Amino acid sequence: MWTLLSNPHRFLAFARWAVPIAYGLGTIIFAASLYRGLWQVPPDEMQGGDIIRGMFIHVPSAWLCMGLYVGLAVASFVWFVWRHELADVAARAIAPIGASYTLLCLVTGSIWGKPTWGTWWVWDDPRIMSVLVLFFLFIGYIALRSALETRQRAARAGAILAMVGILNVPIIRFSVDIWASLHQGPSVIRAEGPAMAAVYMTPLLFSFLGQILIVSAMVITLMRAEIFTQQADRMLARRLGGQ
Amino acid sequence: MFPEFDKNAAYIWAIVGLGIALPIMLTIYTQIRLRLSLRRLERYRSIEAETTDDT
Repeated sequence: MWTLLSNPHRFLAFARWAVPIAYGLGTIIFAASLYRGLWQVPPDEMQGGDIIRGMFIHVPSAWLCMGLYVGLAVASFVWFVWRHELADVAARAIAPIGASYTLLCLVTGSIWGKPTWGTWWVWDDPRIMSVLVLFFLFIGYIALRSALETRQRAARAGAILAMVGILNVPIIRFSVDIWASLHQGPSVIRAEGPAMAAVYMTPLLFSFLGQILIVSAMVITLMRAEIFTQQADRMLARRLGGQ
Repeated sequence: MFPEFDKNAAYIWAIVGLGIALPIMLTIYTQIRLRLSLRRLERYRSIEAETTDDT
């Protein structure tokens, strides 16, 4: 499948039907999970009552921002090693979506922190700081690419930054295990199995699935836009070269 | 129509509101980017077609 989609023409043909399906299916699943999470799930007295419902937005946004960064680093690696242009297009498309979801994770976490911890922000918390670093990595990637003149130099510098920055992802994941943190420990992906009741886990996983589909549709749309921009740039260069 | 929550209702609705608003805004942004790039490409294609016809 990857070999098939690595051709830009085949990718554009795939994107034409995949984007509406991903948007439609993702919206239905996300809306259904929110309905279940807000209307039907009981409050959790152990977690501060109704505030647990914020989890159906905050936790998927945290998983998504880490997943998007891994996607950015893998695409950068593929471009760096094999110089595959579509991988660079994917990296460029992932960056703004990843930055937005990291910001969502930070802001919703801050809002959740106020009633739970009694504060909006803690500067020496390892989980909050490592996610903040992830946000700066996304912003740094976008800024670095915009600052360099040629596409090749921008892609090369961006790829190096993205590959080095991947070290931050395991730091985010294990920060609550290694250092003392206000943030609660992992409750879904654990060696001993999930600590969360199924009544909360099901809508949480469906919210994540719905948002994965929506985010995939956004990334593919931005990839289409980037491919069209590159085609237009090549036509302009040909035209200027012919004059 | 809307569920009633405890004293933290404002925090919950703020989180949910942001969680719904972000994908909507990003969808609008991606669609605008796509339309602009497609319009630019079509403009260059029509110029190129005209130039080819002239020659």
